[in-house]
Amino acid sequence: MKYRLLFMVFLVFESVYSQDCHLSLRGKVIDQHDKKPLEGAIISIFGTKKQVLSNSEGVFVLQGLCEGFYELEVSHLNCGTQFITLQMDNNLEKTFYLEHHVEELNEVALVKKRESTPSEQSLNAAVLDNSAAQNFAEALSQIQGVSTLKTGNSIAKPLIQGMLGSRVITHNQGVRMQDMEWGEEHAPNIATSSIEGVSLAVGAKALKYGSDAVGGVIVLDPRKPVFANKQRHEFIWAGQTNGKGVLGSYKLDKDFENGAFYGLQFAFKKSGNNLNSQGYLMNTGLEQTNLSIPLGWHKANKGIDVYFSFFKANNGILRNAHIGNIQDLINQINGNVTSDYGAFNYEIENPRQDVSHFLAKISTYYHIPSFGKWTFQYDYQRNRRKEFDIRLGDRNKLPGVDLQLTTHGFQSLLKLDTTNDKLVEFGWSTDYQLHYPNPATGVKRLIPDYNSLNMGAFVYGSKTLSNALSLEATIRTHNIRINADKYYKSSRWEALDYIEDFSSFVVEEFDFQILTAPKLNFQTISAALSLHYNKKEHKFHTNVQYIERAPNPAELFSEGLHHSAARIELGSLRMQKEKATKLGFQYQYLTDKRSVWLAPYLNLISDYMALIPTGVEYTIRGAFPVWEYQQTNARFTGVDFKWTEYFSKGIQMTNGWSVVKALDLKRNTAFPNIPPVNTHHELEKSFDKLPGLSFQVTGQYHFKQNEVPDNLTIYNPSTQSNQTLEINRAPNGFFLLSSVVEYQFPKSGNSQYKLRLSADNLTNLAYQNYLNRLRYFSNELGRNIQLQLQINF
Amino acid sequence: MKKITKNLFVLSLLVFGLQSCSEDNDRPEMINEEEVITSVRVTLTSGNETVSMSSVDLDGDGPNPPVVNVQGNLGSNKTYTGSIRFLNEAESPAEEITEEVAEEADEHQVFYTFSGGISSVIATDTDSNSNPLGLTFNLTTNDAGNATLGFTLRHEPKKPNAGILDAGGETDVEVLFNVVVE
Repeated sequence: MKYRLLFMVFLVFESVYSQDCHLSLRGKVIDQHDKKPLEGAIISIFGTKKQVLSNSEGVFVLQGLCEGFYELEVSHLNCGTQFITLQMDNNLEKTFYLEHHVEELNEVALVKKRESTPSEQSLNAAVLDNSAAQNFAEALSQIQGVSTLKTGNSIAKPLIQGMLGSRVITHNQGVRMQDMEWGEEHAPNIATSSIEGVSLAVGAKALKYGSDAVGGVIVLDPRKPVFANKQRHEFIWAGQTNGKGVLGSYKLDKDFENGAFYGLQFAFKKSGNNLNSQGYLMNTGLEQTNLSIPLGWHKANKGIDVYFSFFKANNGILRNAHIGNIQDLINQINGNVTSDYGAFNYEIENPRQDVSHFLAKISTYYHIPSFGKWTFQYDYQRNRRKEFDIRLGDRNKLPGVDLQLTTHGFQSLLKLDTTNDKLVEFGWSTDYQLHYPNPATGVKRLIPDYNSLNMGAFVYGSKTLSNALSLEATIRTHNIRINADKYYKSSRWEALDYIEDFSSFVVEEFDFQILTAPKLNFQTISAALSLHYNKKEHKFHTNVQYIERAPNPAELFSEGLHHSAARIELGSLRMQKEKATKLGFQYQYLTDKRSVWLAPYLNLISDYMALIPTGVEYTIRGAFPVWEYQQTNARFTGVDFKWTEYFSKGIQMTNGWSVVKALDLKRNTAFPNIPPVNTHHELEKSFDKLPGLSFQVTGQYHFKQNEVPDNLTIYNPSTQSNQTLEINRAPNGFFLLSSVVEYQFPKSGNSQYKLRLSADNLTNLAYQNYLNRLRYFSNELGRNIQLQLQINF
Repeated sequence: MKKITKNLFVLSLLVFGLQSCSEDNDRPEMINEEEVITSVRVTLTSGNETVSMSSVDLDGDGPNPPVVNVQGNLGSNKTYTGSIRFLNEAESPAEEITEEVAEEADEHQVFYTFSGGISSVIATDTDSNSNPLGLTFNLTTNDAGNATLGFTLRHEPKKPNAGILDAGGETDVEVLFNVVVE
């Protein structure tokens, strides 16, 4: 039926063409926000091949139009798309306003000029290129309010306003990354050099991307066409002294005038044992490879996008962080054991982590005339994580952990054609997920076999109330079914009081184990409201949101000894969803001379799922503290602040602060892994006479975290005395100095060269970082000097 | 352009088709951890006299603590020859892990802690580098009284070392027995 309709539309246009057509439309495209003309806006007439671009004054002319009814699509790279219907009787002149900032507020990623529109919550391609050699979480921490929780040096997770893991969604190329994000030692499987732009979404906009994002949504921009015949290459080569690391990255972008494009991106990274101020840290090398291929074809009314990416990393884990029992850990923490330093090499031995991620997606959109734009997407992901431990004999070659997570995602989005001042979107999604822990490890499964079906839907609406005031709202609901097959230890099943409560899950009982098939179902509802108010150079954003998050597999099913942390971790089948109410306020002041960003927030979470130490159990390996996932009430408060002054003579100064306080309201204590107060001060100088040259010096100070949970007291049978395990002792504050010299050569022909020399930890400071899970075992890295060459042509 | 779209579809179908072979997931296989040590058995002999001790933890990292058993008392001012065995008794028949430890002698060492009526415990076996291994040992008692005797099996310790605190490595077994010297 739809096709027949379409056919009729074509027929109508065909007949229109046969008329005498001499009318013209002269238009001007204006950025609604700053009233400046928009260059490069694409104006096309629906159903025809007519398409023009606006010039530098924002002006375009469409000629040879006939009398009658036309539907125009006006779109711009940085803006949304607008559909306008026009009745042509005479030659027309018309002005079109594109909603640049309402559409992309809080998620502006393709920043045109750093000086004019710094978005405090995003990183553009240039910043990301400079960070190509860093891991994703570290690159992201350049956004005020984002920290990293590290395991050693190569594995890092982003922490947003004190939250991580399942509470932070990474949305890559329109696909929610499904990558075992529940593990503290599992980093997002993203290579920094593969990203075009990244932003932090908040409020109503963020809720469009998915549920669970109590902490925030990291949005990685998909590739967009430029509608011109263009071919671009980018080479990045970087070498660094610490770990004798190298990075090589190549990116090809090919675009055609008709809206088709393809690309190819490849990066390889390798480094050996890292050096701190005392010596080489044994087994801290890493190897990382990634490949991605975007392709697509965008027309005014329809289009298709395809994306493939493969990521693989092999991370060595600090050799002397490998411990057998709590006594080993006490010895380490109390400093009874001197750290082992070895020689430099590139070998990665056990213990190590081997992860891979494959992603494929296909999405299409089609604009149904006078109705809306409909998008459909299918994505496929496979995430595999292997951990190799130090084991007896030949078992060294077998991973101790071997997990595979396969996800099939379907989503559909409908953006209604509406007037200029409002926007309505509907979306639904279905994710089917299969988790398979390989039994060949010979080690009890960390996370059991399960499959889950997650179905969700949302409605989003935005409305411009006046030139200054606009409003956005999203409501979202999900139904999550989890079917697991899990062997519990019989003694554990009994100790957790599951015998009576969950007898219906029992499939079969064996000598020491019990096979169960838990079937769980969660229903969540979340809503967010954002209010934006602009007055000249002042912008105010208020976000109110209520987000429900269903428990993740670790919170439900963990059972047993975590060798790397020397603790027994227990999930709970009794877990209920957690409910977060967040009030966030953002103030932005922006002129040519000054940029100020101030963002306080309050996040109240009831039934907050936290891993809490509850006691000690004794095994033949010794004593182990027991950490249980429990539900408590939590309060997160904080503020992010950033001030940049642009002085004359190319001098620029920035000062930033992040403060977050987290309190367990039920037990009246702090939570672990909360970033301490930190501040950084940046000074940048560029030269009018020598454009392209710039210097930058940055000093950052991380205070000591004063709010830590209590330490554990453990009875040591060997010495028959109580011992304190100072697992929550926070290291002292530290001041790090870094600097950058950068020179961008004058463009010669099509090619552009950029040379960048940077140095981190200039003073070679010996320090420990509270946000490193391996801080007990070694100091952080010493001085690192990096040289990076970038060629674009 | 239609051709490109069509090709894209075919290409993606191909890729998805290849990737979506999933595992048969009806009933997962039960894992019996082979390398788990559930039991430590120590035998001390002096002439006809035998003292045996055991620490057995069949549920491994489950909630139940190890069951510790000491049979017999030690005599005062005597020297015993001792041996220690590591077993996985959750399997049937029980798996002898002592052999694997002996095979990788240079990556293992049994350390002793003692107090009270025991005056010394000294390993009598060595690895290929002539460093102590500790599966067999001589134990000497002094005057009558209570005593404690502990054994720690370390994997990949520093060898040679100046004792347990210097050795590093990871602990595979840590047991403690309360014994009487009469």
